[in-house]
Amino acid sequence: MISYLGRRAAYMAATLVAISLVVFVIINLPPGDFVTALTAKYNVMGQGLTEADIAGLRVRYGLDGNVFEQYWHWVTQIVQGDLGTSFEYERPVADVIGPRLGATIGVSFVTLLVTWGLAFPIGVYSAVRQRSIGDYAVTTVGFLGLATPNFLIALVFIYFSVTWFGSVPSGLCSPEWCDSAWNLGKLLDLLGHLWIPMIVIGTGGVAGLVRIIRNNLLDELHRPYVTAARARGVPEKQLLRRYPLRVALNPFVSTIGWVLPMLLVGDIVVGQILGLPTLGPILLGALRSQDMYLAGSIIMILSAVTVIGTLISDLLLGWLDPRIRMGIHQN
Amino acid sequence: MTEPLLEISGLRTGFDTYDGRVRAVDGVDLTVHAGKTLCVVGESGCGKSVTARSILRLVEAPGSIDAGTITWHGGDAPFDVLSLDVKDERLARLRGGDIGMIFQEPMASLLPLRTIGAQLIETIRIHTGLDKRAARAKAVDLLGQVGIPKPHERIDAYPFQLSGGMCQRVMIAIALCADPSLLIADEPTTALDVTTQARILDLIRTLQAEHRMAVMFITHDLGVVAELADEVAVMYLGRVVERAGVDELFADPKHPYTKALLASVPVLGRDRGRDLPTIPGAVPNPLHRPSGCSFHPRCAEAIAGTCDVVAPPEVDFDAGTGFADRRTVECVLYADREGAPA
Repeated sequence: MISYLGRRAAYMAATLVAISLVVFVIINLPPGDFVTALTAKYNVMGQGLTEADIAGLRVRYGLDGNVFEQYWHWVTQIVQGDLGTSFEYERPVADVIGPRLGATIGVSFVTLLVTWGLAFPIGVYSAVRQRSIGDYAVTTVGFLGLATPNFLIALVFIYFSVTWFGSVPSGLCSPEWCDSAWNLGKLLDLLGHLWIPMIVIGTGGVAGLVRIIRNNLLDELHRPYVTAARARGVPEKQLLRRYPLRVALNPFVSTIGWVLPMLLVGDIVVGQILGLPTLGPILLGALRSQDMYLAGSIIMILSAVTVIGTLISDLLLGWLDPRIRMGIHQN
Repeated sequence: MTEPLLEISGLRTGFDTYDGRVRAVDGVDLTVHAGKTLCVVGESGCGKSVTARSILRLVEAPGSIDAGTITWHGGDAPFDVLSLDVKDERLARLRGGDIGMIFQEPMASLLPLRTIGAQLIETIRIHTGLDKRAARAKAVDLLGQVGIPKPHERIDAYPFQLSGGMCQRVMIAIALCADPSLLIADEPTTALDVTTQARILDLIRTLQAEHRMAVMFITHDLGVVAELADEVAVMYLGRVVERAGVDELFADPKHPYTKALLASVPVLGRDRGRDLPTIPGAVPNPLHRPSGCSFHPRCAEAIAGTCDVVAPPEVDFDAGTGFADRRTVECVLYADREGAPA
């Protein structure tokens, strides 16, 4: 297990380095650099900067050396927690992202729990009772849920709440609660708002996961080891839980890798439509206004989280499956 | 004659396919006697395995058992396995308790994610009610009995760390955990190499003697039959076409199919430089069962106008001095024999 962990950690470090290179390239893609943009802005405001000022700024922001030095400067800053300055917000990137991170993780985490909580038992039921009326119902609803884009569901929600309640469900808090400190009222207000993004983002997720679990389990339910376990008298419920379900769990656990970044960004389009204070809309805005440090930082964070998520799912897989733990490759 | 332990009568098991219902087992009568070995032989697809699986009610959808009775005489009072509710505790006790079963693919029959010990101990605890520690001790003991070296270490091995032969030994240990009176072995050596095969057969024979259990051995290998069997049932296309004591079967095969099977076994020395006889054609698709006797298209002795029209009668012969209490052949060639129904 230790060598497995070491191997995984080494892969993870290598991946992060590769990603940081790509992100650095993305940040440097637009012509000019941060100081050029700053100079242009001061020019517009009528405050010309001298060559000395510009050179000073370049040193300050670590833009004076060659490309490799710049990259090194940028990476060491990130490691120290300095993500650079958002040009659009004129604030450190960390200050822009920070407050939204909580809301994003909150919304997504609750959504994820509900999604898993619903998808798992439904998927198992649907597989065990294959071709039953319940299975057909679940499958049909699941297809509808998969085929309907989340933003469409969001729009439908907005339409009904406007026609029925005369208000648009926006954000995660009512105006009167948004700036107050945490108390019961604010919590209730949050719960009142939370269910909409939860349902909107959750439907697609549940439908997708139900299909994954159902298909995994169907693959396993008729394996020889199931027949053999039944033949030696293992009671059906115990049999399901200890044999095919354990194998079917593997692909499910693998999904954690991409679920974690989804937790952070949330659904970009849904976030935009419902006015959620998540990272998704910020990323969209940063890309549109070429706010490269902000965009780069968000991409970097997402990538890092993806890699961490993959590591977590790898560790879980290693814990669940001795073949993976022992590095044995066989079908 | 020993007591019957398991009596299968008129068993019919079928599978729904898009082309119609396949009658994989089409009216099978078999008797396993306490402490004896019944070998069921036949080509692939003749219904041997489905018969074996029907006994423990292991046939899965789209298959189901359509008719027949399977009477278990091993308990206090005989009962029909097929009439039991799936939740009946008598069925739970049969599975792995009174009847142990081993399968063709020992590796695939064990869950790779759990150690062999976990799967063995689980079964021991289900059937004996021992606590964890006692069950583990019994597990080590059983693994030793089936010839696994260093059982106290191997008990924590995963199936993929063991060879196929070792996995089959583990399966045998699991099957033996509650001292069954019947071991059903469904081609347990087919997936193993020849040396391992011989060792597993030896093991089964030894354990059978020690535990005084009956064995129902499914195989397509006549060499195995000659080594193990007391009684033999030859199956073809879902029916038992001939049954006999093992000596009688090899000395005096009656059914043309049995004769052809025996003729196609190579004999060291005799067959040098000469083509081995084969049975022409293949087992027909049970969906399109030939009319009359289902073997007639491949039969060297088929009588035109009879075999392709009339279903052959089951002819009873004198059981002789062998172990088998019945000697029967399902063929028109013997229809005029004494005691034969027309």
